[in-house]
Amino acid sequence: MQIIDTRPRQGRWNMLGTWSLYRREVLRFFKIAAQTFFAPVITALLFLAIFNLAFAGEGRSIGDIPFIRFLVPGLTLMAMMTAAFANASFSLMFEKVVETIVDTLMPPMSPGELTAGYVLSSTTRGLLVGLTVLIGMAIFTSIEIHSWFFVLFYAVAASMLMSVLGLITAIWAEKIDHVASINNFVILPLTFLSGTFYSTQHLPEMFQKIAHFNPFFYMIDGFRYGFLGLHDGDLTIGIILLTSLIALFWLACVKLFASGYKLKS
Amino acid sequence: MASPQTPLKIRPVLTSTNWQGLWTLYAKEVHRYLKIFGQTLLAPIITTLLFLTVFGVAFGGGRTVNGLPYVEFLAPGLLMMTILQNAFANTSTSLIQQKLNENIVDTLMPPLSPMELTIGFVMSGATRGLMVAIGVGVSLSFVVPIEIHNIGAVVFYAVGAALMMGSMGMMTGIWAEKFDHVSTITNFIILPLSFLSGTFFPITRFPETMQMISHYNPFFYLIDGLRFGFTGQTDGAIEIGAIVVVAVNIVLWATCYVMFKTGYKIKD
Repeated sequence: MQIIDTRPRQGRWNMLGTWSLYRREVLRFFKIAAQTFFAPVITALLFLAIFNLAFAGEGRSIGDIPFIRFLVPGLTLMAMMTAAFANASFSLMFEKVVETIVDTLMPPMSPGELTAGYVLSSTTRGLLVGLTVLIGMAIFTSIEIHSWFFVLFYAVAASMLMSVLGLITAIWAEKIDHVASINNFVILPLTFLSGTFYSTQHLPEMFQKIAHFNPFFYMIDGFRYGFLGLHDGDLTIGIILLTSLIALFWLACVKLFASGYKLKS
Repeated sequence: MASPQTPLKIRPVLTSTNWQGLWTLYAKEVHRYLKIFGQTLLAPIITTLLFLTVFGVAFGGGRTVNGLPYVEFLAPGLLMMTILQNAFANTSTSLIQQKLNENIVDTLMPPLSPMELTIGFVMSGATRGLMVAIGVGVSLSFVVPIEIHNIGAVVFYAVGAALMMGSMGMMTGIWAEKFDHVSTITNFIILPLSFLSGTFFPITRFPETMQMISHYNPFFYLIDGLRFGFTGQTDGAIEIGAIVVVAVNIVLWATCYVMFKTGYKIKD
């Protein structure tokens, strides 16, 4: 009889475990594709429509870029950020509420592997949502890419940062209500006020300064640079800031899983 | 063995309105959302203020719509959008949750007639819509000068909208089999309609055909009517709007009644 070794594998990365967790999470959001993909596309297109209709015929442009082209990157990134955060936070929160989280914590997976599985699957959702939203918008406006590097870097970085933040929120939260609070009172205001819909140059001087301390501002600014070649802030600071924030919060997730904070009693 | 006791009479009261039952259902529903007032009252207020900031402040800059400063045009639209979304969210999520948790029996078993159930649910949903609207209205008044042109129109359209969305949410909650269905209706019907019915811009900005279609959209009359109440300006006809609101309410209300009466998707 073959004996299956079920001891936690220490010393090397449990690829099969990480892959299984990743796959399970991705399948989870594909099962409700209408909510995960079409809803963000509709929302983004609605925003595009109302901004255009509300401010139509005024020849509004930012720099010499027509307003609609200015909006596309902001709306796309907003959809990606919301999706990545929602995925990471609701998935783990739901497991906690229905108490199936044991099924995730019992298998021989290290904290690092758990973090990787959750974060990468949510990042995937963010990227897929971004892609669908872009395709949806391409029907109504032409999309040109100025620098592929910036588009890809900021797409991945923004999705990843929102995923780690979502994961931390879910570990900390005790009920769905807590997740919703963070979403409504922190994430939504930060996304709305970070230059998604307008150039921060339109803001009063004081708010411009405040905006430059908001990491969300750098994500949108850098992502927009990738499309339009226009930026309000410093791009190098953006890259350094985002990379270090991701590293910091990623480590925090690993530590939280390792300590079992609010997960194990 | 003890002698048999006179059985308690627990037949439903058929002849008169069960006021206590109705009030209890209403109070239960209102308590339900007051318990999570952070999500149900504060969150919509923040969202509305964000919309105002983004549309009004960031783009404001002396823009006018039909001679009215843009923020003053926008405020009634945002208020109506809040009523629409919250009244709908309340009844739809409340019912689907009860169905999923299978504690809907506790609502259906007591001696409440279909009409009493309808009234209890719709009224509590409408109350939430109006409470949120008052909260939003008060916070908007710090930023935007709000004047009331015609208080009758404000009350009529606010209450009419709240009741309409309360019953629409109820129909959705009864029809839906999972949460997914409720979110689908919210994302693909309620959200687009509340965004595109004149909340953010006068419908005269639409191409001709869309303007024609808008005149068949009850949400348009609601927003237009409330805006008339505040600013005295209208894109449609207030009288037609009033008739549409009353008629739609009656139809939806009757549908809810029939759904409860037949037990559609609730009893098997």
